Formats: sequence, structure tokens, C-alpha cells
Amino acid sequence: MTVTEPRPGMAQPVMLAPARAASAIEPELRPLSPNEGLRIDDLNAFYGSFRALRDVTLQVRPRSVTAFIGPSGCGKSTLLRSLNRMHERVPGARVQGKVELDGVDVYGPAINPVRVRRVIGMVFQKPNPFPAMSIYDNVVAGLRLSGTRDRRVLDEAVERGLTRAALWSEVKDKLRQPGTSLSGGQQQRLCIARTIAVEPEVILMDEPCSALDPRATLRIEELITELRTAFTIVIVTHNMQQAARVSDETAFFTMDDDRAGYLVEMAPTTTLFTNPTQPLTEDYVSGRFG
Amino acid sequence: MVGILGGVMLAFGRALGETIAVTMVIGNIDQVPGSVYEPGQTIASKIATNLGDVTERLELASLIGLGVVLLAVTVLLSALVRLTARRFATVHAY
Amino acid sequence: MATDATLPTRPSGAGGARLLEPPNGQERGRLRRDRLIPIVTVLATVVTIAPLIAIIAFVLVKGLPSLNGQLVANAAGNPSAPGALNAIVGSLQMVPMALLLGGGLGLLAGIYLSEFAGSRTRQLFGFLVDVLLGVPSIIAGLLVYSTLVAANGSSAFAGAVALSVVMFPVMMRATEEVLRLVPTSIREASLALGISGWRTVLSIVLRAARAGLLTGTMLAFARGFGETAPLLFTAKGSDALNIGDLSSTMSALPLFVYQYSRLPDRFFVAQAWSAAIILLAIVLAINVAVRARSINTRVE
Repeated sequence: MTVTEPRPGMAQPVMLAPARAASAIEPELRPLSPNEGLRIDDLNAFYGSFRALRDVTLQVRPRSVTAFIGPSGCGKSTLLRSLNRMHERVPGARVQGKVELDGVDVYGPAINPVRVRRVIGMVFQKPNPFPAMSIYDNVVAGLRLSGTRDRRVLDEAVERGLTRAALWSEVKDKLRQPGTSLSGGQQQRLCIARTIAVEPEVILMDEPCSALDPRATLRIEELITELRTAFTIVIVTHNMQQAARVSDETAFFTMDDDRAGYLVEMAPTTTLFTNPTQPLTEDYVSGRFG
Repeated sequence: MVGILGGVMLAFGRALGETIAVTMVIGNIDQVPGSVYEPGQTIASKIATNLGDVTERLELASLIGLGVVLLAVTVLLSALVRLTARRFATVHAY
Repeated sequence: MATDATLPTRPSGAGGARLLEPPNGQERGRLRRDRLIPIVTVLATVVTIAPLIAIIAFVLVKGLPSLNGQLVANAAGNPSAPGALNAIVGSLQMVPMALLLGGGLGLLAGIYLSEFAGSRTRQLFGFLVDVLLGVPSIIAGLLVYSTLVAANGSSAFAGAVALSVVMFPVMMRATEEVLRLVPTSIREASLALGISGWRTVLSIVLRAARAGLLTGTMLAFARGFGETAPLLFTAKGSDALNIGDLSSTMSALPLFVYQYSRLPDRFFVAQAWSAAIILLAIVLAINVAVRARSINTRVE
């Protein structure tokens, strides 16, 4: 096996034998075929004439957790929003390059952005349950508003979604109460349940725990680890320890002199943190900047 | 300060256009009153009093013309409120 | 680093003595002013409330004696026992109609402005709404008079249209402001679920804003209910009890109060006062209810 030396600004799927002997916890990740998972090719994102992301190329492994880490302002959230076509909702914002899900270009001319967001869901930094709606209504909102009316189907979806989000036991007796009556951590799990209910393939998480207390954070992290058997998860975080705890692979980004974000290095998580190849990565994970 | 000025101008506009309360007490005499204790007329009260018994086209046209004047003053006042609000907002950017 | 020359040189322990010093001239002036301010503000509040109290007191004193069943149960056209039923019933027809027309349009316009319009459009229409809100209501009546009434004669429908001109900007402004208060995160959450734009607005945003929208509707209704000037030359008023005939003249409570207060007969003037009680009660009740709602939500 060879170590492919990544060029600055570009990461290839890394097939490597670590320089040190593989420990029992360090995963051997099988190589990805080109059409698997979420594949990002030469992605550039702009706000008007300002380039926020430069030439990002990486591949997100399906059914696993990938973390995007890096200092504030280096475009991690922009990248996330470019994946589910939320970025283009900002006036003047546009995207260049390719984002492919299982081989299909998400920005293709025949592709409906609404459908994209169905298949690639998103959980936000601050929990945002719909305010005028009950817990039940929140979970089924996505289903109901695309036509599903059958009460039994909805009931099942609610129980399934809330169970998978580790919230069912806490709320099953108060499904009619407003979504906003829950605690912060519960609200975030409600938002996750809501996202899961429409059965996406990918779940994007934009710093999902940064507004939560440590206990709620831990519960969400446990949840993420469970969910990855069924969903492809991409999580943006600027808590390195969280990335180390929760993700299978990690991509490290930073900002160049023009304030455009770019990918520095991407590797299996343990490798990135213990044995990074790029000096910038080394500096960041050892806390020298960020 | 912006809000106070805007409020004053808006109140002024409101008073300009007040019809019924004024019509009931102003006396509806077409004169420039010698003192504030004599009867007079406002545009709104004139229209309110006379529009019902209009017979000639000229009279109707002149009443409507009065209405246009009132409207123009109101629009100008609203524009003024907006402009001063914006001017003050940029000067005192708080 | 400050040198000894710039830092104050006072013995330690001087703080306590400074606290106990009597107030100097400047402080005395300020203390006097501080004691004056509450007095001035209380006075200002009294001056502001006084007209309202005076109105309520006057209306009650003058109107209670003739506030009776006859007033409410009979129309003004009733030869033996005239009342104000025609006015009550007239308001109850024209104002809801105007609410549907003007309020409905205002709601749609407000939704468009808040959710779909670009910032240039929003600025322009914001100004137009300001203008409309400031236009004297008699001009609305004049407008409808020179168009609708000139063509088809006076009618209750024309009255409703004139009222809706007044209510439209009220509803539009209220809608726009209430929708603007719905946080963007809610819209984003909805979009991220794969819900389309207009569905998001209809089912999620409007629903989130429904309390405020109800308040806006109540305010528009109260406004239309109390307007007299637009009706003077459109619906014109009528002594007959008009239920359902929108192409004839129709009375309304404020119209009744205005018209009957100027009649030479003292009996009718008294009836005007009594009708004023009913009018005042309804409008005040709506406004108080609106306040009560907003207090509730703030406590939450």
C-alpha cells in the first residue's frame, strides 16, 4: 500500500498504511469507488464576487460520519449549504463545480432543488422547531406538506422518527404539546427526528451541539454514532474533541490570504489527529491556532 | 429624536385629515377667521359639508380639486417623514 | 504603564469619607430634577388619559338614559318607536365585507412584500403604505364617490369599498411586520426538509405568525368599524333597515351618530349619544382585547 502525498488544497481518498503500527481502534477504511456517497469536485462558492470556497475536492463516505473542522470563517458552513443547495437561496450567491450524490449531479439542470433537500437533510446550529406546532406536527411536517395524509402512516412515522432520535420515551405522552416547550437538547433531537422522518440519504449537521449544554451534547453525539448505520452524516464542528469522538473521517479546512476557504487535508479521523501529513493540520490539531 | 419628530409629523398629518370631529364644531363658514374663536373651514370639513348637495359640474370639480390638494399635502408630509427618518438614521447610526 | 505622576495620590481609606460628604451644587441640582421628573411624567400621563376619560364619561352620562331596547331593536325608519338597528346591522354588514376585501388584499400584499419582494420593491411599497395610512379617510370616500357612485349611485357596496381602502394599508403593514418577526431559521428549517418555497410560506410561516395576524385583523376591523367620512357619500346612510341589499344606501353606527347628532330634535340627539355608547364599547373592547393578547404573549 502506498501513501499518496496530497497536494496543498486537494485531498484524494487516502489509501494508506499508517507509519506506525495500526492500533486496534484505528480503522482500515476500504477505498471508495468514484460514484459512491457524496462526491465534491472542484467546488467554488461565491457570495457575489467574493469567493468563499476554493477548489474543494473530496468524497464523503456513505453510511459513516465525516467531520469538517477548521477555524471560524473558513467556509465550512458554506460548503455544507452548497451540498443541499441552500447556499443559492442567498441573493447573489452561486456555486461552481460539481456535487454528486451516488453519481448524480445535484446541480444538474433537470434536478429540482426541493427534491435535493429532501434527500440531503440538514440540522442547524440553533434548534429551530416550528413554533406554532406540536411535537407531533413538527415531526410530520415534512411528510404532511408533501402530501402524506394517512393518519396511521403519520403516527408510525412519528414514533419511528422520535425513537430513532432517542426522544420517544421522553415525549410520547406529550406529543400534542408545543415543540418549543422542550429543553434545548430535546429540541435539537426533535429537529433531528423531523429530518429523519422524511428519510433522507444524507444528514448535514451544522455545529449541532454548539448551542447546547455538555450533557445534551453528549446525548446528541451518541445519537450521531447510532445514526450512521442508516445515514451518511456530515458534521461541521469547531470542537476538535467532538470530531475526534464522533467521526470516522475528518476534513480540515482553513482560509487563504483572500479569505477563501480550502481543503488542507482529509483522512481517517484518528490518523488526522495523531499523524497528520500537513504542517497546517498539525498546527491546528495541536492547538497552535484556530 | 427621529421617532419623536416622525411622530409629530404623523400626528400633524392625522389632524390635517380629520373630518368628522372638525366638521361638527368648526361652523362651516367660508372665511378666514379673525380670531381662533370665530368659525372657519377646513378642506375636509368643506368636502364633508358640501359634497352631498352638489348640482353643478364646476362645484363638484372644485370640491374634488380641494381633495387633491389635501391628498398632495398628505403625500408630501409622508415623504418628508420618510426622508427625515432616513437622514437621521444615517447620521445617528445607532 | 502609568507613572506616579498621573495616578491619583490619595490615602487609602478615603472612600468611606467621600460617601458621607454632603451633596455639592451640581448634585443638588440633579437631585431636584430627579424628583421633578416623576411628577412631570405623571402629569403628562394624566393629560393624555384625560380626554379618553372625558369622552367615556360624557358619552355615558348623555347616552345611558336612552340606551334601551327600542334603540337596539328597531330601525330608524320605524314611525312610532325609532331606534338604531339599521345602523348596527349596517355596520355589521359593511365592515366584514370591507375586511374581506381590503383586509384580504392587505394580507396578500403583506405576504408578498415580506416573503417574495426584493429590497427595492420593499422600500417603494413601504413608502406607499405609509402614504396610504396617512391619507385622510374622506379622500377614500371621495375617490369611491367619483368613480363607483358616479357610475352606479350610492350603495352599501360602495361604502364597503371605501372602507376597504382605509383598511387595506392597516392590514398590509400589520402583516408585513408580523411576518418579518418570524425568524429566518424557521424558513430555513422548512426548506431543509424539502418543502417548497410557497408551501413554506403558507403552512409554516403564516402559521407561526397567526397570533399576530389575528391581532392585525382585529385592529383593521376596529378601524373600519369607527370610520365615518368614507361612508358619507358612498353608503350615505338610510333610515330603513337594510339587510342584504348592497346596491342601496345603508346606515352604519358612526354615520348614525354623526347624522343624528345634528338633527334639531332632542330625542334624536339623545339617541345619537346612546348609539355612541355602543360604538365606543365595541371599538374599545377590540382594542383592549388586542392589548390583552400582546401582554399574554410577552409574559410567556
